[in-house]
Amino acid sequence: MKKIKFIIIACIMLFIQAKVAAQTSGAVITTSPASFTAEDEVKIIIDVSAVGNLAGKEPLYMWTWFPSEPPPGNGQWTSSAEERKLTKEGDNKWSVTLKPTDFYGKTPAEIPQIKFLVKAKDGSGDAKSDDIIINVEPLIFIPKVNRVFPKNVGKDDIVTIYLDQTLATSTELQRMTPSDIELSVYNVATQLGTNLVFPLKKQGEKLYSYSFIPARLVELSSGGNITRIDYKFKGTMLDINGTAVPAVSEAFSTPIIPLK
Amino acid sequence: MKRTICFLMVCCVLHAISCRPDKPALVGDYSSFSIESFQGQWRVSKVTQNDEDAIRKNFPFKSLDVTNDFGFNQTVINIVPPAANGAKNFSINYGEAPMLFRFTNGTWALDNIKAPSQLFLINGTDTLKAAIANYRDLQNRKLVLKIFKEEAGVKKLSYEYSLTK
Repeated sequence: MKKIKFIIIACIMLFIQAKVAAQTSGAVITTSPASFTAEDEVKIIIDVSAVGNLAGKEPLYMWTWFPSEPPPGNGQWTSSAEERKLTKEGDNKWSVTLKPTDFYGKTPAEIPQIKFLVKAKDGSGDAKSDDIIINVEPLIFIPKVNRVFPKNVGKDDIVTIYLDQTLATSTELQRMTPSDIELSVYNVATQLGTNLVFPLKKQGEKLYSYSFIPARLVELSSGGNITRIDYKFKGTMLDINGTAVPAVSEAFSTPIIPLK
Repeated sequence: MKRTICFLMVCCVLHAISCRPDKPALVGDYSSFSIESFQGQWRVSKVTQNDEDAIRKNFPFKSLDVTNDFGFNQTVINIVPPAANGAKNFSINYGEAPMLFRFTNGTWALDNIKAPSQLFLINGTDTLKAAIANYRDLQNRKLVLKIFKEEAGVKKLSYEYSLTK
């Protein structure tokens, strides 16, 4: 009997914990432009419709700590500084427009990410969102095993994905004899169609590529959208007996943005 | 005395000539553009995709020739001379190539009839702007058009079309 009571109490505790987490999670973040460097002006839009503790509350404030607290500061947790007040874009939609180097007073090298949360002026009682992390593009070119050309593409543009094995860090990609690429097309969280496999084109020693147009991969309904392509490289590698066995790389992803 | 006056007059003439402003640089030059040579049937001979972001940041991998991967040299653009009612029509036959110009037909216009820098392809309420990157070789039946794609007003990529008649 004691055991049953213990299990019931544990379940209730877990439910309460999950409920509390759900009340601060669910913020949907979009940026314009979709990717930006520390020296670009960016508009960050936060939709708190699904954040139980913030939905319907106003005004909302930004509370940021990375790369640093921006001047003149965030204020107090129970009374945010007015400088951190967000702009209302619509019901439960808030925005802030900033140029990271100016906003934080830091150099581009010091801003690999922006970390912040959204809160009510008085954040007591968990009137806040979970932590939000946005990656900032570097100002220098960083070679990668999976390079996408061009960096920013729309659904009707030509996308070329390269596999440069000389830059591989994972064992699978280093040892693989690549043959194919597997593509998965997404509109936000919904996969459109099934996974598609295409042969890679050998461009040189340990360099492969595949070019495609996202909108030609799937049947798009009128007004239908594609927001990202996930992909894996496939091929074979030799096992300890010298037999060729199937090999698959880790999954990569590239965003598809609206271009005019 | 006469020699001095003559010398001064020559100096004045030379001074006046030397102060003429330089000719402004153009995508071609006025004399190389003729509407007749612009009109007609143009076949795409090469398409280059440019990463405008990489160009701005001087990153490597700025351009890629995409002509053969997508059969762009099947694309033919017909810029029809103005009809009797003044309508300027165009049609595009893509063959198997992607419809990067978006339309198959419509009307066309230029931003400046004597020295154009933009070609407008119009279909209903939709307009595609193509920058005339070069018409210096128009007499040699060659033309280069460039289409930019933007996000939030910032150029992200472009397609450069080399056309031949």
